[in-house]
Amino acid sequence: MEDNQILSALFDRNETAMTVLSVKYGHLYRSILWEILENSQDVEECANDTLLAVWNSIPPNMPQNLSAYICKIARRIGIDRLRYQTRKKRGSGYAVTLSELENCLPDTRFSNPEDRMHIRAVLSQFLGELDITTRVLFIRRYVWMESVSSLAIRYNLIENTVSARLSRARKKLKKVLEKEEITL
Amino acid sequence: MNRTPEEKLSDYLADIDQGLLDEAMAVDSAEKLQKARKILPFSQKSLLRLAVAAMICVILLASILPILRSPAPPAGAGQLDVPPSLMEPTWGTRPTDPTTPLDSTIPSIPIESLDPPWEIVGTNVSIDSADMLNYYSALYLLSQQHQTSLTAAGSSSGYSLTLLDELDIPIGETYPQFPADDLPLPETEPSEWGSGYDTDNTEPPDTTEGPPIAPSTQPTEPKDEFYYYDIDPSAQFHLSKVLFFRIYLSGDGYLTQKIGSGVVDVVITDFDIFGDYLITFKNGNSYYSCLTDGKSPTEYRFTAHKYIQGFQVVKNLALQDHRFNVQFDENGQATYFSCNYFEEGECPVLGKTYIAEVSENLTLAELEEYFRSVKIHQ
Repeated sequence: MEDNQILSALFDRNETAMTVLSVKYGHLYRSILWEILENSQDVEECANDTLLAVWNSIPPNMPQNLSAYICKIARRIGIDRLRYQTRKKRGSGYAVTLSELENCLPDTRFSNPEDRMHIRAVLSQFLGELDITTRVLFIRRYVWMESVSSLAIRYNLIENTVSARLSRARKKLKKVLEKEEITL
Repeated sequence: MNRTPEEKLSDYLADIDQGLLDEAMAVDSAEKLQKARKILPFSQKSLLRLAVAAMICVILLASILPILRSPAPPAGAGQLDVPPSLMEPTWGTRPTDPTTPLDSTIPSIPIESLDPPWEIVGTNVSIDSADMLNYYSALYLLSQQHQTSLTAAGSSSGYSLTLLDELDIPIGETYPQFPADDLPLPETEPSEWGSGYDTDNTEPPDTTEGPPIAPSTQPTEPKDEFYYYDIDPSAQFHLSKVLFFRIYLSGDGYLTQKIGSGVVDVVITDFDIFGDYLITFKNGNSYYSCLTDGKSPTEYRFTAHKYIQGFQVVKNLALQDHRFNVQFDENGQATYFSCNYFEEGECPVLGKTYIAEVSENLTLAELEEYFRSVKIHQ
């Protein structure tokens, strides 16, 4: 079933859309949840919560990219579950990505309050100016928490090539955040 | 619950422009990434076409004037007297979408103005380093293959293009013989690419085909952090498998400091005297060469830890390990090149990649003699 058909079914409140979503994108959002939670029971619970959240949010939302929408919801639910349980295991996919992002944080601290829209615009511009390979790797790594080895296999690259690209991008991001005087 | 700065950054990244997220989700394979990399935004395409058209007009005007002024070169032995109509390569495939620089700060390079390798060389080449030896050997082989294809056009025998994945020397198995057993290895951080320096996996270069290679001098004075061995420039050597392409170098990174910026010739060869694949960069009279650190069917990696100095191959682990990556498509065309990720980064590949799988035994003297007898084609 195509995504537009699934969306139509959701708008019609047809519950078969949920079954189709689970079959079509289940592996995708489960892999994200696994990177965050690393616990099969938690993953299944959050997977069900993800589907419920999709059901409750469409309509009124009408995402243009259904897979990205579901993954975003799954990510949010997984991270919230992890924080709720306060079980941040070292070595979990989410914890590893956070440790890598630590290197992007600007050194200077200013008194400007966090401006969400501004930060969003800065990050979007930064990513938009990267070459497409680095951009895709960066987003998949730090938004969808895909592992370096998985990215290397997916794009037929050497793992060290992936790591080097990500490292270079993180350094650039740090400079951008410092230049924009963004405080987190 | 208060979030850490890293968590906040992670959440903000998840909240970026939806188009970027959708793109990352859609480009979920190597093939889709390859296609996406060749697509430019419409506005950039228009500007690029206008710029290329303008450059072509200028180049045409510049090329017509010298021809009208200069007399015809005298006919003589050894001159390449090939009718212009036959100069289009009859072998291999020209990519239908030549790679062009994507960065708008890089001047548009009209691909058509880049000479094929057999048209580059002038007279009186004096080879005084292994860099030049590698480079001119590659030009020689490509020229030989081109000549053979012209004279035997349509023949199914003779030289033929080889896809890159048929160049099958595995990583580490043709490694220079450094006597690691009786010398302590320098204490350095291990290479993150693993077995590049694992001397337990070293084997002597393959000498079962062709004439015996020149015996390499064992490292004479092992220093604390590097080894080297000498190449005998008077000995006969064996060369097979040549790749030639061009990149555009800019900025002030490691490689640019070595050879300068601009259009750079790049040659990758399988040369027995070096024991591994060697990449040579040439910009004018400046050369830089280094050896491979690893290879996959679609990617070569080279490292500044193993470089050429005169007629020596030097391994210096104390140097900062600048890396060079070349990636190829299924037709053996170079599609991606990067110098030292943290400085120059990705450098545009210009035009097509010329490939030759030829086995030749040569000496330096023969090479110089060949190029003395070749005139520049005009």
